[in-house]
Amino acid sequence: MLPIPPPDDSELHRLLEECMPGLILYARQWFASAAEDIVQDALLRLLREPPPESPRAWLFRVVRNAAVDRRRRENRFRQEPVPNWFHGVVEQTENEPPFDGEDLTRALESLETSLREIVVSKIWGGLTFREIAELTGRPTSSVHYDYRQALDRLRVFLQDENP
Amino acid sequence: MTNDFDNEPLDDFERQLAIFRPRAIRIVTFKTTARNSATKRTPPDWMRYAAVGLSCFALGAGVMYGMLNFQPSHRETPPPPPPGYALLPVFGDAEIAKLRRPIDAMRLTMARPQQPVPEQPIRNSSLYMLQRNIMNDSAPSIPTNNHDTE
Repeated sequence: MLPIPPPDDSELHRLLEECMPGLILYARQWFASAAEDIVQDALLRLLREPPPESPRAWLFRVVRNAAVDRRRRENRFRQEPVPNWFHGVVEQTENEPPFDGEDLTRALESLETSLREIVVSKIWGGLTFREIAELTGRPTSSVHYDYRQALDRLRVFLQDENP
Repeated sequence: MTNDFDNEPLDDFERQLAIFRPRAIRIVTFKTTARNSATKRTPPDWMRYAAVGLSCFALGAGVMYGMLNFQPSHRETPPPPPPGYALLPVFGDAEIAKLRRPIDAMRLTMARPQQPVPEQPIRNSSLYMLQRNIMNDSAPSIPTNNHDTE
């Protein structure tokens, strides 16, 4: 049996470009100050281990486990708040939002972690509902229901912030 | 890997959210200043427990060393007791009074070392004055048995 080759540079580069921001935002929910370190450890582990079937879902699972474990170990450390989890909106589109990154950050922080991780992994992580269900260990229908609930709460929060 | 939920089209609000790009660059000042000064990090539990354990061990070792090597410089070894009193305990009157058997009390009383009586005369007593007068005036001759030798 031949060993499974690691992902080549082009595939890895594409994976990093697609997943890196979403992974950091995903890890920032549990451990804001060390999100980049957690994601970097996950990427190094991806290079060392045989490539999984779905690298994107695998990375999110590894980052989630590492972030939750590190948060549990270092819970007493005071974490520096990150005021803005997003870059400014640079693309002028027809759906330009009436809120900025800080408003969206506050709106996401108002959600529970269980709801926020679904929104983050779906919108900015690009995972499917089935992958999110496997990631969180919950039924797909429940994940979809919570996703809709979280979007409604975000919409109400941002409308109240920017009437 | 997809199902009906994933085939739902995005609404306007989801598109607005997707426009934002997560910030993936950590601010340098946050990394340098926040970890050094603003973030008050406390040592983990195992480090604190180890510090307390080492402190207790050092304190106990110091106390044991002091107890084993203590030599009082201001106190010399007591002189040996006189013969006969070496192994006899000293009992007070209170201990003797507690004893029920008179023979035990008598035995302990005999075993107790007697305090020496001061031999200084009581100068203000009439007996002392009488003795001094006798000694000064004329001491009575003590009869001897020298006549046998004469």
